[in-house]
Amino acid sequence: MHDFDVESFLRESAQDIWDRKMPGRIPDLYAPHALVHVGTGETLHGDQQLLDRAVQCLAAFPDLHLFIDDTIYARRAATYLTSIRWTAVARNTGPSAYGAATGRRVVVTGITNARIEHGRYVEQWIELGDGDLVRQLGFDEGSVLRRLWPEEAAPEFDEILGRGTVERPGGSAHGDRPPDNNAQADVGALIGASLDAIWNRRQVGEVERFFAPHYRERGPGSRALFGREELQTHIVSLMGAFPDLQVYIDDLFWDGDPQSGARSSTRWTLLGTNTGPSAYGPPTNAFMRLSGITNHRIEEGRFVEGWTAYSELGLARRLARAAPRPHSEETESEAAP
Amino acid sequence: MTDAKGEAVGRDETKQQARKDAQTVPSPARGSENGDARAVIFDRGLDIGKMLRPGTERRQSLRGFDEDYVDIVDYIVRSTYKIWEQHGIGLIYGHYKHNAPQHGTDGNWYGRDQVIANTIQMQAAFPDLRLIADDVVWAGNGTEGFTTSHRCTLVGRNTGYSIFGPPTGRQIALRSVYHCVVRQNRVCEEWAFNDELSLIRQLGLPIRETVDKLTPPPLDSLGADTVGQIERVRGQGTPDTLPPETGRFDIEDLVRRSTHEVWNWRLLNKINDYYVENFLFHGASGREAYGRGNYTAYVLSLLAMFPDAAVYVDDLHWNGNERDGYRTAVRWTLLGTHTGPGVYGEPTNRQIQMNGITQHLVREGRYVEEWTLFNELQILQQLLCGR
Repeated sequence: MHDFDVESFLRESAQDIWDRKMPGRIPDLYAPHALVHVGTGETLHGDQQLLDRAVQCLAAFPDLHLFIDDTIYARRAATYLTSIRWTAVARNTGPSAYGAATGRRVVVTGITNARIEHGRYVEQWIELGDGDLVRQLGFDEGSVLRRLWPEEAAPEFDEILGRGTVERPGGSAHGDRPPDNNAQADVGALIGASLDAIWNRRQVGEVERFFAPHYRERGPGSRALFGREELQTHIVSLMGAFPDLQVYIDDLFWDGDPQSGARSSTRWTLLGTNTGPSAYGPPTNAFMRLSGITNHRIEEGRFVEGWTAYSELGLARRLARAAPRPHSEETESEAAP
Repeated sequence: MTDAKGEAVGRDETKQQARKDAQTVPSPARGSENGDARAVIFDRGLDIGKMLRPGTERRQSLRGFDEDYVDIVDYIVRSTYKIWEQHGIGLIYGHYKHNAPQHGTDGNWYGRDQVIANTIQMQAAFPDLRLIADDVVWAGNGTEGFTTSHRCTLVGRNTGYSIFGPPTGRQIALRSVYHCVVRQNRVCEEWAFNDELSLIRQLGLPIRETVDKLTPPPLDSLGADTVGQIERVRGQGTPDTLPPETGRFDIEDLVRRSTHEVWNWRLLNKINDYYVENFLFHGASGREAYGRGNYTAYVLSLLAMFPDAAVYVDDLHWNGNERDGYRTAVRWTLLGTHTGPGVYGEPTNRQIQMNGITQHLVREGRYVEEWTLFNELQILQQLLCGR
């Protein structure tokens, strides 16, 4: 394990599977019981499921080329935590999960984080601009949703027994939080403090403190933000749609330090209830749990560039599921238990 | 460098201090600290190819076990692989005691031949079944025997007849936990928890009709006609009080104390003390809850349906230490009478016995993640039978 080069492992594994069309390498590159979490809310169990999925993807996009735009990794004991920012370019000449072959050329961006042990992927989180992909293919989002998750036309046997609430800060449960004086101590503290202040405590103006004036953020898909004003607008509009939203950090690692320059990768989960109007339409009262990954470039203690990836289809799926439906005999019996 | 799962967020450290009950000193049979370099732990990165050729060097004393097993985790994972993935069904003769009782989420079974019959049935329905190991929590030693708790994901395609009907051709992936008492290479007793409602749903079958079609289990095996007062509060008193905390962290005390306080005392505010902010709950039938707010709603909704519910911890073992965190396996029983509204429909006034198993991941004295399964299909049968 001493001469394990994580950087070349990341690049070569991506190249082998996609560019060299050798998905059969997956059982060598992944542990047999590896878990792969896809942003839509699906989890693939084991290398064989992943292999099947990769082959399906190649069948839809046979000339797929995967460009690696950046890699970040950190070592925690015998485990490597890694993040790859990538762009895939391909032509859709075979039928895909979204529909029949369209012949269109697509450019898709995404971020893949992973945990590597014993020189193999053990767990992986894939977030890609699937909403953008569907638009580039020329499909209608609604019909793609029905195609991917047909059973959700009928209500599921409740996802959880009760529908929960989002815990909001400021209540007695949280007590008094210590002031974030040491927000500049390291990258972890910086990200934790900025997220807590701006997102969870609604101090949106703190963007001025944590972000550089020329901050640029890309994603998901082809969305691009430039400057602090646009960022604030984006944040406030999300809060308008999900007034009780909270963002939690699931995992976070980085290289470098905030002053002299650092790159970080944050895997997060957003909880919120869609009780406000938004770009997605009138309020649906859907309870949203959205996972995503944001990578940052940090200079002089401030964020200068960011890349965010999450599944827009996953988001649309949750909103569609909560939309009111007619009360019929059939749905009644499904919901009864 | 931060630890996994949200360490960098403003997690308050103030409540970590005191949690130890002088009366519950963990006995070696209950847990293992995995202190030394040759620690016997389940290792997700390990190669099954390597596991199938593990060498002959014993890493742990295993009296009466087959020569090729190097430790108890190896025994569990590799015997599962040989019997259920490679179809070495006859190996069950050497791996189960002839009179081993099994307690399943689908009823109680008895004896080795029954294990063989059930295994064949399962493999006929899902010939390409894989049991992907997610974790093995264990306790015990080679002389007195082990208790193991094997969490895995079942992946396969339904190309044969199952108890739910003709082949559907569907791909399934569901969680199971197998809790075993193992002595001298043989499983002496087993609690098998399968996520049957998820299975029914993934096969594309309607839940209500499927439940109606299944033979209802005899009421007495479910405790439904042995109705007595559920012992949580004695007479006009309060639930049992716990001895005071002593200030030293003890994983066993955490599990027993938090279960008793949250479930039996209904002190749901304690969830904020015992669970991290971004706690992730994987429940029975594919339920997931992220965050304490959602978990609290889950607990409330169960208690609302069974207002007299009492939870008992039947068995508890663990691996880990304070530095690396703990992994626990808890077998529990919930007794309650269905007198309140909820997802099970109109109150039926029937008493149910919920048998469950929970594995926790504990870091810095608080629950970070949890996997729970219980006999939900059986409960539905119990509540809906004859309605």
